[in-house]
Amino acid sequence: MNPVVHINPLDRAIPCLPGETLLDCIRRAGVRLAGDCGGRGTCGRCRVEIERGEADRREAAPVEAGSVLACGVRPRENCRVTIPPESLEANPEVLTTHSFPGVGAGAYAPGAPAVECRTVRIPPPEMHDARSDAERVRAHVSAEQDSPVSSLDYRVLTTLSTDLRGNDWTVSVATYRGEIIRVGAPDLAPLTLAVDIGTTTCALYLLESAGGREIDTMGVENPQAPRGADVVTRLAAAIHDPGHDLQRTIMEGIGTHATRLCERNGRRPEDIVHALFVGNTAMHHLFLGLPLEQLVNAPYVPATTAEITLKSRELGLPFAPGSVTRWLPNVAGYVGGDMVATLLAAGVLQNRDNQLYLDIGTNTEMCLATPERLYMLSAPSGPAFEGAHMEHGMRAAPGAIDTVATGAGPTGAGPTARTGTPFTYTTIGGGKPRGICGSGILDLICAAREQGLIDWRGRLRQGELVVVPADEAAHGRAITLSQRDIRQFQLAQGAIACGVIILARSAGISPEDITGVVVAGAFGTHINMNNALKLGMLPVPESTPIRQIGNAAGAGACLAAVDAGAAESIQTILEEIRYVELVTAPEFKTTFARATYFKRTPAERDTSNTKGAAK
Amino acid sequence: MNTKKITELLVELEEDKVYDAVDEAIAAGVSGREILKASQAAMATIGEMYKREEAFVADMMFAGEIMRNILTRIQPLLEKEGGKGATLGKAIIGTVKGDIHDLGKDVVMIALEGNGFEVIDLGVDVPPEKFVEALKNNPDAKVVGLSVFLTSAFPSTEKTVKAIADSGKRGQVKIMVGGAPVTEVVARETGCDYFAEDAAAGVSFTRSVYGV
Repeated sequence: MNPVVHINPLDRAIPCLPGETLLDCIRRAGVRLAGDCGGRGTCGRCRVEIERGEADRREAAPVEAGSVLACGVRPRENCRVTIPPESLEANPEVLTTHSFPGVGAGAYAPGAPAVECRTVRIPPPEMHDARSDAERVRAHVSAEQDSPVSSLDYRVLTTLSTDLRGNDWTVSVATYRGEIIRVGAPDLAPLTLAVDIGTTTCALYLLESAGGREIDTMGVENPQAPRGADVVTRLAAAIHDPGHDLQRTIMEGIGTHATRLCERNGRRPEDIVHALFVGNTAMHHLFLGLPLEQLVNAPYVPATTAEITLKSRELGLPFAPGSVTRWLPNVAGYVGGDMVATLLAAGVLQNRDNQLYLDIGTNTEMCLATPERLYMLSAPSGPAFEGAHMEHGMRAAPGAIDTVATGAGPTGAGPTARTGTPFTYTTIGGGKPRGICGSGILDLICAAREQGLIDWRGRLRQGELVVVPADEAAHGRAITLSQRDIRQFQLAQGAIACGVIILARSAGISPEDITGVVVAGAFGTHINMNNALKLGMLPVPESTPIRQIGNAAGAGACLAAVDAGAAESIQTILEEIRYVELVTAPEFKTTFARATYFKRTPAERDTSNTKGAAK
Repeated sequence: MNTKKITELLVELEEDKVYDAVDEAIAAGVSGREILKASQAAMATIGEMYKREEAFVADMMFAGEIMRNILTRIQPLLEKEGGKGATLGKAIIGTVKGDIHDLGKDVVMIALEGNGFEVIDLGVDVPPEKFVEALKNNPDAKVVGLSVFLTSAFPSTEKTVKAIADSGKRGQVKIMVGGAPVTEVVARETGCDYFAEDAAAGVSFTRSVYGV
């Protein structure tokens, strides 16, 4: 008899599978228990309280009296477990918006659509014209379109004759690269789906194949996320734990969400004739079921970087049976099609007078576009911006402190509260604060630098910084920033700043020559870039114009999904990219070390610092 | 002229000022050996601060860089004074094959150098043969340090130890291993002599091997 786990306060009872950890058991029941480390017991986020019942514990599993990490215990008898609110994963905020007003509005309606759609009346067969149904459709559509049709998808053929007769010979036809991939009722216009698969979140865009109008968007957590928050953990889970089929997880997740997205707009997933995916190389390999071993071991070789086009049905996606699923090509290493899409949307080929394009994340992808080349690298900036490895860090979710400034605000008024500390802050959703997300950490460090609480080397003048006193926080514990937290931030800053410096050096210019910065991605949209400039995270002149463009990867995926001409731009981008290996660059270490430090204030530059800052 | 200023400035990572101080000292006729000693004292202090988490990894790397630049400046003096400034001993270190993490290895290297040891750094993703070759070229090296950050590189750690044994050099050296996932047990199972929990432990082990 397997033990049963009762969960307070959800009032759920879940039977355990043999040998299952409490974490897996709770998650299997659909409860979003937090966890970033793939169950290794290192992130400390899956803390639960066992009120009753015996369980086998992994060494060092207990974190505090009465509470354990759920990944480290296996119930031995029926247990009653309480999940504190902070151990539940908040619904992530997923950015599906971007600053390309044309994209998705149908205004950029391409000259050559990726999928040709038209409603045609096929002349019915007669005694003197007894061509096959397929040949009849092929010839007729060919004659009407600019591009000739050479074939019909096999699954289209299996229903073609009934589809034609059932619709009285007037049908909607979708053609992709010379192949008819769907024949359907004339009122069911073909749909295109563009998806940006991020390590943490996925953004789905539902578009009309003809004209490219955006119908709706949806942001969801990557369903693989519980198996590891970062790429390395995720890949390790996929390799070492074949019990969890991560390809099936993402496929089912995308299928379910795409279905919801269609249905809430009165459509069906079977109307999707074309799906285009972008993502980093790891997400690409996990989605397509490509081999992973060579990707996780040095020198980190992808199985392929070429564009992949296949039938959606081969992956088990619930789209039109003849529909096409594509992945944009990857660049190199872990830099994937999402960065290609970002550059496409940002118009990199039109704007390359030493422009810097950045997508800030766990890995920060950057591209320096000079008139000669597109220099690109990936900087290991780590999860600090997602609040990981920070004592009070959290993702950008309700209750997260997202902005901080120097000074006291009005007491309890609106989102700003006086805290009795030298800081004012706002939270996402305006409620009581639970922790600090990446943008808040950046602001906080900047404000603390302004007040002289942190020196140029990142040393706290004293103890730790209290941002929110205990009585003001949602969980009744003071929200603070510790020396270790600052170090995490410095490592992230160092990686990014060092990346920019080495990229500029590779291009034969100085970071001072950079004429503009374009910042894409969710984090890059929410942060105060002026503070990033002040701290030295972006080693460019402080007057450099900065554009924050939102989910450009999603916008680029939409463009590539509806515009056949995008393929040519993508090809040009790929040909012009020079990929720079950051960590093997000879000057990497010393550049990195220097870049972890904050820009010195004039006072810090002048005084001889031998007196020492903190003891 | 007092070399204390060099120590203080290096501890504070005041790069430009410390170079000025070194140049001043050289001009004032201070011996290379004295300057080296002052710099090594600073490195030892930073190592201590790192252990207490008052300094962090970038401080170690930066200090190591400044230290190397000071060495370049005083090299002619040291050569004139004879010898390289008397190193305490020699260690060969590298990150094992299949692993390219270098942060931990670098910290150990900087700590060893700061404590007066000469370090042969083989880099990352180092195949077993390269360790063997380095041992042949440096018969005076008594310590080998293996850095490993990925659990998937444990087998490669074992192979490295075995290759050293097969080459007949095992008796000549003590092998220490370190890295985030490494434990006493891992050290034992891979055939190493010592599990270096952190850079300071690596230094004290190397010291004990050399009896200094």
